[in-house]
Amino acid sequence: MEVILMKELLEANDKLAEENRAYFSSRHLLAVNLMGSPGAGKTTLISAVARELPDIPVGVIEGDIASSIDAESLTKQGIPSSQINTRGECHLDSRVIRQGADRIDMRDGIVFIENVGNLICPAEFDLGENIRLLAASVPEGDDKPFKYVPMFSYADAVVLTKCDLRDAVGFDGPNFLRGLRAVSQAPVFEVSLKKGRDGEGIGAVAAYLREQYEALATGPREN
Amino acid sequence: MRPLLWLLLFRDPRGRNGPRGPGRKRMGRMGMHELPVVLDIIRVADEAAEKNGFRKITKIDLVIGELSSIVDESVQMYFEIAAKDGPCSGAELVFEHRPALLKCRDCGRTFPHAKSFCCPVCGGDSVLVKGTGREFYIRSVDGQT
Repeated sequence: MEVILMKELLEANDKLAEENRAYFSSRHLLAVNLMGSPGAGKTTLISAVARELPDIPVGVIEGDIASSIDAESLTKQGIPSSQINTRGECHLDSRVIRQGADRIDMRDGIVFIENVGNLICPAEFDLGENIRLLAASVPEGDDKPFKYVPMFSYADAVVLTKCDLRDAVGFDGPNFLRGLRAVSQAPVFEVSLKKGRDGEGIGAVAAYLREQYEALATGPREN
Repeated sequence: MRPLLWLLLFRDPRGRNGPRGPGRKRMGRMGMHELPVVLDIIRVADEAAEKNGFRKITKIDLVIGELSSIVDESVQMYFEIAAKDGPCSGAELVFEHRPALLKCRDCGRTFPHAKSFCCPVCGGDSVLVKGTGREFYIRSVDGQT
């Protein structure tokens, strides 16, 4: 005998994501799920944005399968960070986010959730974030939007990093944009954040995030 | 937009028809996150069995969107292991894949993605309707009392 269920899977994750969403909202936090391949420049981007927004508190929930390299580095720069090690899980899920959030205990500002380096799985898991930000680097190639459709269609905004390497790798910008525009209307911010130099293009990313932060509802907050 | 480029889009993400040919099990990616999903499927099916007085679940119908990163073969593999000794043991998993929706840039019509990104009505280029093609749910279960 057939019984119709129409039951959502990943419901447990989505339910926790909504709880996270309510938590972030109650604390006036703009939660940014920052995704991208390993080495795309996610951590570097967070540091650069934090420097551009000295008047807005910035904290990080840092996801990696192992090590605390990123959280330690960010903490040294004065950015409160908590490290989550997934021990092999290829993405962050809602369950672990709250633990990280409790540890940094922020009451206002922008929380970056730096996801595990992965261009596939994180696009499946709502974490309760406000913004899905994708860091795509020039050396990865201009054809990635064609190949990784779930991720490129998931992002609310794309930061194209390492733009100083365009000529070196023969990056075809119009092709990248063609692939992206087929599946998304997300804005693209081009940056170049070489070590020891001022970040080019970071102003626009910071302005975008500032705008999103300022648009947060100013309703009753947890004190 | 050249047609060939569009063919690169939505190349079967599950690799069922990859270079090794159709039907060949994909050994490439170990779908780690299919395990919690499978445990969830079994939990839901077990609950349905109890609620309906089924001794055994014989079939589970799953609906998976084409942009979901859930891999059929990984679900099947974990299911066979995790369902042993329970009411779901030996149940057939049926995977129904749903296409993403596309919207024509010229005439505005919405249509399901088949092979091409061209509008079936006016032939114009289209874009993905954000959020579509991501379904993932149990449609139904079949059981025996």
